[in-house]
Amino acid sequence: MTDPLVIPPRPFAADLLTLTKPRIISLLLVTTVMPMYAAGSPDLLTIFLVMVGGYLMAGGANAVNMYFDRDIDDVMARTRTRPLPSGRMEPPAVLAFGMASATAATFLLGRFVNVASAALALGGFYTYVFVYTRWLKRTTPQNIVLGGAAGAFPPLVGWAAVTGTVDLRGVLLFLVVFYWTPPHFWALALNKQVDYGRAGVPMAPNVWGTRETIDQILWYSILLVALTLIPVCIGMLGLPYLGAALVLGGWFLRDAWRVWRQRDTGEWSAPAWKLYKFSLLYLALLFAAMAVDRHL
Amino acid sequence: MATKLADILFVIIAVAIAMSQWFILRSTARGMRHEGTQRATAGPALEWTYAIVPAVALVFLLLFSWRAMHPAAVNVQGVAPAAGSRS
Repeated sequence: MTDPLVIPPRPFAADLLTLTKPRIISLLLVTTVMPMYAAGSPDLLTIFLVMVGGYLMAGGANAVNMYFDRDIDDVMARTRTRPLPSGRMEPPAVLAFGMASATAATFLLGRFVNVASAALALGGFYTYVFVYTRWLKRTTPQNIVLGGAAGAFPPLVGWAAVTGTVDLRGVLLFLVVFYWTPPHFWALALNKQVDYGRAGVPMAPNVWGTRETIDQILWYSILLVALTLIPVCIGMLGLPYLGAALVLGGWFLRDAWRVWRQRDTGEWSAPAWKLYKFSLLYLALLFAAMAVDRHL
Repeated sequence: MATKLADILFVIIAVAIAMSQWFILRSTARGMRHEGTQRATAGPALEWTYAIVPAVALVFLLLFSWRAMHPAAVNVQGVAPAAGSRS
């Protein structure tokens, strides 16, 4: 049992917003909207509808995730103040909110954008809730590798919202986010080993050890940067994007290398934080570069 | 981008991806033997499946990307090119 935690009361609306994990969704929306511009010239109404639908779907998935993870959220320092572990909301209410939010998103996207985007967004919801949260998260250190597919659906949603279909180019965008997830998440997990250990979540640093995790961060980073160059080879994007992908990728690899260099000294904490923070900026800028390239 | 340059870049990408994936699998094997502070409850067979599935997906990605880069060569064999590639 954890120490009692005194949490001041918060407005109900603020708790609902917390359930959706708005900070995480902001990056998901970037990786949803930018592919829309890479796919074509979407009108503002479609962009608005996709953003609202995307927020509701991702927010719903996050709320249902909090429902299923309420037992471990109570023992992790960074999640103890969430509405459920702190007792400000009841589990059935959180589950109902999450399901209602996902249902509204499905209707909004299916009715006013297209069926493909609605189906893909719902696919992302189920992948996050069932494949990641219920199946992989507590059983394998590769939880965020395959589970990372859930976070990779937004580019597909954006692409399908404009083109009405999924092709190689959409899949490439999906894979960019998929292979970005391990180095991003493991850079965070390296610094949260005590928390994950206490909660019994078998993250890679706790199961494989920090050395293997840091090794994999480097190899996944190289794989990611290589993958981001394929759109240029197939003629999907041009030289402006290539320049951006090389500069951003070089920066990413430099940060990953700085973590790797410290794998035997134990001084990897600060470089890992730096990599984690840069990886957020990296993904946003990379996707922005895709959109800019297509409209130059 | 000129076809020849694109081909060279693609080969470099494919080598980098294959090499990275090899080291990822090797590191996963070492990690499975490691005595960590926690243990995975998924068995070794399942752990290997989790590691190999993304590698297989990458093989298909490289294959389809190559086909998209060379639609004419693929057409000769009677297979349709990937739709909508900008080149």
